[in-house]
Amino acid sequence: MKQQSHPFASLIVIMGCLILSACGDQLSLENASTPLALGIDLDQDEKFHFYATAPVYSKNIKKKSQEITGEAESLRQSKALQDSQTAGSVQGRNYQVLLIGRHLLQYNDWFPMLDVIFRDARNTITDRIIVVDGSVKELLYLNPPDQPLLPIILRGMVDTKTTKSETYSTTAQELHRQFMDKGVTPYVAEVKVVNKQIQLKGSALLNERGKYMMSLNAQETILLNILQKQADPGFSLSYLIPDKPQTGPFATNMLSFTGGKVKTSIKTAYANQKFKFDIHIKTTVGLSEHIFPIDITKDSPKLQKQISSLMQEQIEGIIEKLKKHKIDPIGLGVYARAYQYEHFKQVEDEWGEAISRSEINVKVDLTIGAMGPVK
Amino acid sequence: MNVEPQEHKSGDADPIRIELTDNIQHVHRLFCDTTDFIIRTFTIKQTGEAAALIYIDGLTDRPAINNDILYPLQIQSDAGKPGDELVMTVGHVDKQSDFHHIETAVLHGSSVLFIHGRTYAYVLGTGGWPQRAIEDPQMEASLKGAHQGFVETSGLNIAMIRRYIPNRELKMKRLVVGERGQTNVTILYLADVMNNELLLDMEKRIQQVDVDVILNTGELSELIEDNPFSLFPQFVLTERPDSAASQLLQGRCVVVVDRSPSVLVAPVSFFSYFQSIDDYSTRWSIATFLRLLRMFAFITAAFLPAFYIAVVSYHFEIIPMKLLLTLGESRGQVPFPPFVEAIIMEITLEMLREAGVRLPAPVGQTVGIVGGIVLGQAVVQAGLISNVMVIVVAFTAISSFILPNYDMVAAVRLIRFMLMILATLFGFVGIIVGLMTMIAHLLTLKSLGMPYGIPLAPVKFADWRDTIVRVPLWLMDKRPRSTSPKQETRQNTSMPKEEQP
Repeated sequence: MKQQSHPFASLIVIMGCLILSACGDQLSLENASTPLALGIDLDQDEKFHFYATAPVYSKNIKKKSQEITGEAESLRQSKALQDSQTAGSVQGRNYQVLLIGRHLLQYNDWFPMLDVIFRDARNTITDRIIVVDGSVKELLYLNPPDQPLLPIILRGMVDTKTTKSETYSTTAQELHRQFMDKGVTPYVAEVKVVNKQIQLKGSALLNERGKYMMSLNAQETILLNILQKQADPGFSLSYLIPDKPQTGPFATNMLSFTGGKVKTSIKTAYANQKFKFDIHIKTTVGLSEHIFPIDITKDSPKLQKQISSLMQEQIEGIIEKLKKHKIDPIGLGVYARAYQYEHFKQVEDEWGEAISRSEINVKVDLTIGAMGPVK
Repeated sequence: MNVEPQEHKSGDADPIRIELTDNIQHVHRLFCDTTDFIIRTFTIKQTGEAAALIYIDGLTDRPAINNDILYPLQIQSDAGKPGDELVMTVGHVDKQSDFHHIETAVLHGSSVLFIHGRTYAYVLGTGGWPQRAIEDPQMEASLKGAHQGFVETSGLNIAMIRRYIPNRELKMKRLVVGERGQTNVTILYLADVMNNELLLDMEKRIQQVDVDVILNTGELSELIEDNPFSLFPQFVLTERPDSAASQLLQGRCVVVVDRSPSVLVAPVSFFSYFQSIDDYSTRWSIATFLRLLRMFAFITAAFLPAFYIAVVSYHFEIIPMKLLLTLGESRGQVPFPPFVEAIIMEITLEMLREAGVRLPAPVGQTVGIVGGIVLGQAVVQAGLISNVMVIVVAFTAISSFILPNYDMVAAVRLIRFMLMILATLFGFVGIIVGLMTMIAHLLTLKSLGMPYGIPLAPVKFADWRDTIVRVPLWLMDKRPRSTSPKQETRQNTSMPKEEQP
């Protein structure tokens, strides 16, 4: 054996190893079909359907997206069916939104159907979950000519409205957490097709097994966000002030304000076999619109009291509905677990029941900090 | 010029004869078929002896021979007797009695005077060969630094360095390298700063070089470097006297090679290649920003095409949605896989760059137009290469242009191709493996026995002040530890204070 041949030989071995083991999972962009939206829904015969829309990368083709659909037992089982409809291999790596039809949400325990999203690590889990009030199929095949691709609109819609606290951009991962956490029930964004236009409704609330319970509009979603301590400054609320005159067709008794930093404190107690939550909301707002005349410098204490009680009433209304539906999107269970662990442990599996029996008190303290640059 | 014999083989001694004609015959034999070799015979007026002056035309300074040797010897003199000291107005005069030395001296531009009846000859320093004027350095242009670059004469180069450090501690060692070329190689160092062991190591390495001729500093550098298989340069070659002086003051040695316009600096670290002399003359905040920019450029120049290939062929889930649509549209019409696309563009770029270097300036512009317009635009319009790839290649090229050292840029070019192959084979995993191999290699590499990664690995915290960042000059009170200097304190300046006029 000559000593000199060793480096050369090892070089050949290394090159061999590199080349032989390489390219195993190579799949270039143009060979893949990358749907940006995935939808699941049931048809009239209660059969599970998947829907997907993938962008078409070509300058010569007018229509910019291709829709894939089919009846399936499960998402991964239908991979062959998905692939058979496109030129490339369908990859779940670029989902932007995951659409779920209200029809499907009439059933409990649909969440395990999404298992492949989490178990196949190639799939993204940052896609936004959106509930569709109506059929997913209708939304997906809408393709309005005056708007960009559906996933882009939906993602943009959900993300920007979330910064205003008007909806939730719940990712798949976040939804997974909400299902796993016994102290909270899931909440996601909800859209609807109205006159061939996509409209963001607000949020949809599900029970702990995933069944659709109720919807909240934009303003109610803001209030829920405040209760969840998630509301960012900049949200906008409007109320009709009851003792102001209304003239003509205009809502002249309307008042709107922009929220500042909200301080929500939640105190937890347990007495008489039930939980007790005292929620105290403190915030300073700036008036952005009042159509009736008022001298803020003089009448602001009275106005503050009026708005506070209007807001408090609305929040109490929401909480009543939550209790009626036995759901807890606020996450009061998390507080109960933290402060009343023993009692929570006993009821954690029927937390919805416990929340409906609990006593929830809300107090709103609102201060007007700014009245705008005009008198 | 004074030239010491490179090797004195004792058995080979070839002494000068008493008879002038014998000597002339011998010289004729040595320099037969050498048309530029000139023998001038005459009688010295002062002593009346017959003499012969030999020199090579073109290597010697003609006015010096005419006015300082021939004129005083033949015309202007007082009467004397044979054997007297001769009157010559030449600065450097050396007596030699061996033909070996005489031959070497003549070939290096000296003229030699034989005198009948004397067993020694006068070697006269009349060297004067074709020389270039001192110009702005081409490779290392500077905005605020001096506009003098090294030339091809080591004597002048040393003088230029000495102008910056007029100090008697600036010492030099002269060695002769090359059996045939007899190249003068001079090691310059500050005797009270430079580490002795490093200096001895450098001297030993140069002495061990046994080649025909050293034509350029780059050749010497390749013959004495620590790891000849590495892609990375291990010595800095500079053509700026101010850089060289700055390096000397930091405790490094500078090797000046005669006939080469660049000098070699050792020991250096990886970060030396990201420093430029302008860093010290611009404000420290700007200089720091520029250094960070260069590090960023190094990373993009090496990794960007590989990153593109990996993303497009393995990991397109990390592309943001809107970029995905653009990228998909752009890639959708390209008939080649990403690697082929990238390699075509990268090779085109390298070709354009080589073409630009070799071609004369007016034609060089044409290359730019062909490269920019024909390739950049037509290739995209024809649908052969995607827009994004052109942007990637252009960004890579710009990144490699802002690195101040050509040798490091050359290394980055090769590393880029290796990483591109790894990215094609394994995606991000390949890039990370390449990165880790590169880091491991950089950590084991040495320059003149000193670690290449210093001061980051091993950590010399005090040196960080002038590595990736450049702190204000008044904070750099110590010489860099990475050269283990004998004298550590460099200055005692404190922060300039605001003073009332």
